[in-house]
Amino acid sequence: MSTLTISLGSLAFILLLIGLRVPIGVSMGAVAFCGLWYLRNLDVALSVLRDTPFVFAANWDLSAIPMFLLMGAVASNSGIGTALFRTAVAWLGALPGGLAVATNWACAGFGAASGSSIAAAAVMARLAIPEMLKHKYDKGLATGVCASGGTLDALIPPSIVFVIYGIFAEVSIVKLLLAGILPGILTASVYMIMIMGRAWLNPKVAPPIRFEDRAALWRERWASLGEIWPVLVLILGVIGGLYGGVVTPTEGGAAGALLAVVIGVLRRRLNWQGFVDSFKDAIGTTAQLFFVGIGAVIYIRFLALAGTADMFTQLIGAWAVDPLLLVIAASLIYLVLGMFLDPLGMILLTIPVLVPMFAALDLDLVWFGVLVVKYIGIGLLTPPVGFNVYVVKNVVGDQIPLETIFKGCFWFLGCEVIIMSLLIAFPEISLWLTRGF
Amino acid sequence: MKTVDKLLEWLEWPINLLLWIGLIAGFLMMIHVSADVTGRTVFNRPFAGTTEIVSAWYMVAVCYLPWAWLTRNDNHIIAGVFERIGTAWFGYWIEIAVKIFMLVYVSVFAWQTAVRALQQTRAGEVWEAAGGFIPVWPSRWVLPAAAILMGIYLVLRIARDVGRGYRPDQHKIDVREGGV
Repeated sequence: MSTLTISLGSLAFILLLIGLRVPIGVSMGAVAFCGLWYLRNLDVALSVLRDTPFVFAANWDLSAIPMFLLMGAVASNSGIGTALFRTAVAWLGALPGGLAVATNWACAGFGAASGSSIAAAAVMARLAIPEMLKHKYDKGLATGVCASGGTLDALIPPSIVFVIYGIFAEVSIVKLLLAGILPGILTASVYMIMIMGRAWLNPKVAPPIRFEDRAALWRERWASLGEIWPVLVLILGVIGGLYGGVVTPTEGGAAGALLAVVIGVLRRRLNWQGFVDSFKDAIGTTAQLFFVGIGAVIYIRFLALAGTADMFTQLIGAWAVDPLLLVIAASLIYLVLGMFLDPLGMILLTIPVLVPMFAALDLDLVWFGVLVVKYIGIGLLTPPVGFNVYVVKNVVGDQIPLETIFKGCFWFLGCEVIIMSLLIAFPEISLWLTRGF
Repeated sequence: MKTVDKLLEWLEWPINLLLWIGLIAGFLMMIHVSADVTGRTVFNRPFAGTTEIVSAWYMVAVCYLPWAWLTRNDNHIIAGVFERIGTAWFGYWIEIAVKIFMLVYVSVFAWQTAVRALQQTRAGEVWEAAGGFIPVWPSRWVLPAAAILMGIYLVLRIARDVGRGYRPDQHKIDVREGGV
């Protein structure tokens, strides 16, 4: 059997198992185990399963994942999301589509404390959707902005997806975390322009909010800033520490999580139950991710043994004249996979195949990492399995049909065409902050 | 069926015990790393062996001990497509088949990691750190312990689900808020 058949056949088997609701980690691990058995023998397959899991978990770099998750969970349970939303409404509520614009930037701000897109979508949906519906906002816009705004969290550090990509693609995690900042701000800005444009052209979509007492509004604006200082402290502590080279991602995450706990307790926003729930969220999600990760590592070993990377490198050498063709091909792969797979499954399935191809063409793997994370964000919004859309649907219940949320997201997916074109055409948007590292 | 239900109820105790050990490991990781950063940046005195202890002890506990708890809550990352197309009855049988498949996978996992844990225990595995040695072999047992508990839970769940038979009201596609 040729390497191409083995590689693509294994991928097809994994997708089939995933489609049958087999957990992604089991699908990848089981197919890889059988593949190793087929390529070598049962002893080799068993020895990979014997050694890989411990070595994979006992890893300092990966310890950033539970710490970033913990920081986000504590921030979420101490009401940072509420404070951010209130502040954003006070400062941006008067703009056309003000509540949606505020939700969008509150999501971006929440991204500085949390690394999970899905958590951000859930938190903002609970806070912002009732408020927007009360002001007679279009249901698609109200839900679409929460689902789409949530994807900003994967770009703005701390980001779990970047840590995972960095480990598997063997790229500097600090560089990746910094590379996500400007694309994150760009995405939020383009979303804002679209929301304001829609609201300005058709005020029925987002009826303007009147603030009668200007003096009271300004008092509220200044007062609201006092509520979001914990986010500023976390940004300075984590992003500043990483940028200054003072801390590693794990150290930044641990210190950020401890800081979030201390702030939450001092401000009386974090009680014992919230504290325990934060740890359950973070540690449970870590175990969930590593269950998939082990399957992925075994699968990567299998692909390496099958010679997949070498084969794709040779293929690229034979036909890829223009790197843009590869970027477009990768984009199409991610768009299709994003319709069905969760973020982790997408990254872990594609990295062993695509990263060697990008490396063979000397394309910057940090830039590619940003594109991958953007495509993962898009995958969270595309039907039929747009995870963020389902999370928002879970929050709104029967009040708003799933189709309306997907329709609301299409406007944001339209923005993504512009954003992705800019990120592909100008890699410097992603790489500028990483210069000097 | 009552026996299976009772056993599942009893299993809550070890499931929660392992989860709590994982939570405590996560808490200790946060404190230990923060103390190390503070010691290094403020007092120029880092804690010896932080990297090794975090990697070999806390991380292994955090990554594996909640497995049975995740399985109990149906919280593994899935992205089913076909069961949305098929009938609920089809979905019910797919779920049982998936659980059996998971049981086989996790059993081989438990067997092999236990073999390695035994070998490393006999060898007295240690890691060298800051001029001393940190014992690592106890951490090796976390993997088979977590996998065995998950396997036992799966056996009982399969027995309960098959025993109860297909019930239309119990099969629905759920949405979780975990993940990245």
